[in-house]
Amino acid sequence: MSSDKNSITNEQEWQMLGQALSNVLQTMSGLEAEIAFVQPADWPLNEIEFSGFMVMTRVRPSVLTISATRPAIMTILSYMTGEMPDELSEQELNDGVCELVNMVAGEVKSRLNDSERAYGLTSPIAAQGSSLRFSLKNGLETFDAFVTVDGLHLKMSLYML
Amino acid sequence: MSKRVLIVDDSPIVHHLLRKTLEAAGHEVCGDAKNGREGVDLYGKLKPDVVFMDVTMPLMDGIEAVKTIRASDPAAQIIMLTAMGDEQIMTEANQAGVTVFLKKPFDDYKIISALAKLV
Repeated sequence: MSSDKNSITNEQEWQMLGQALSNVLQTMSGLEAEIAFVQPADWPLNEIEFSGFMVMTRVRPSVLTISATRPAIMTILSYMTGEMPDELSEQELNDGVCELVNMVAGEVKSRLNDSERAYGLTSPIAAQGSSLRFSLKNGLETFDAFVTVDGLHLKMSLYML
Repeated sequence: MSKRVLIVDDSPIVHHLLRKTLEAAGHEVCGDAKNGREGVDLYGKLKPDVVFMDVTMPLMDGIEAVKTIRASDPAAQIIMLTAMGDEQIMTEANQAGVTVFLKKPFDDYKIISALAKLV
């Protein structure tokens, strides 16, 4: 990766976000994440239920989302809190996915702070439901990562607006 | 030594995690606030030994809450715990009077060792 912080590309920023997600999951839950940048054939996209997203405010804003299946977010939060998965409330599941996206975006924010890609962050927003889809105009770049944690599934996306 | 701790954060999950970590280490969580304004109110009522304070919260953010608490109690011990770990926030936190600055993500060791550094 270039040592010139001003020349960081979208792809390099995306790699930083992937590393940050692995670090957050490892630190907070002790779980190892496997990240694929191409959707694996058996990846259950239709089972995604909990999404957290944040707007990265800058000259060219972006939206970062982390989405998870119910079993994935329940398992991760169970490892984090020590509670049994079925003891976690719906509010905690929604809040948990928001905290993940908050920590990932926050970690990379500090690394890009003195570059032309520096950004501010809105508060995280939760969305629950299995039909959430972002639709962007032609030509806008999107990056997707398909994350497997303990056999369970999350998806992280970055939309360059 | 056991400390009485006030947690100020808008995330229920962060409250849950901190409470679990602090109580397992023998500390008492004496209060939970979900924004800076509640945190300031509870600080005055509970007089905790230590405050864990987030930055980005509704109604009153963590920096303003630290300034307000410091104005009423210059000896307040405040640990700022935030995902926003860039230099600007750290400088603002330092100027506001934060005792220790911690970045999320966090584990038990980071929390307990920060508490141990406080007088």
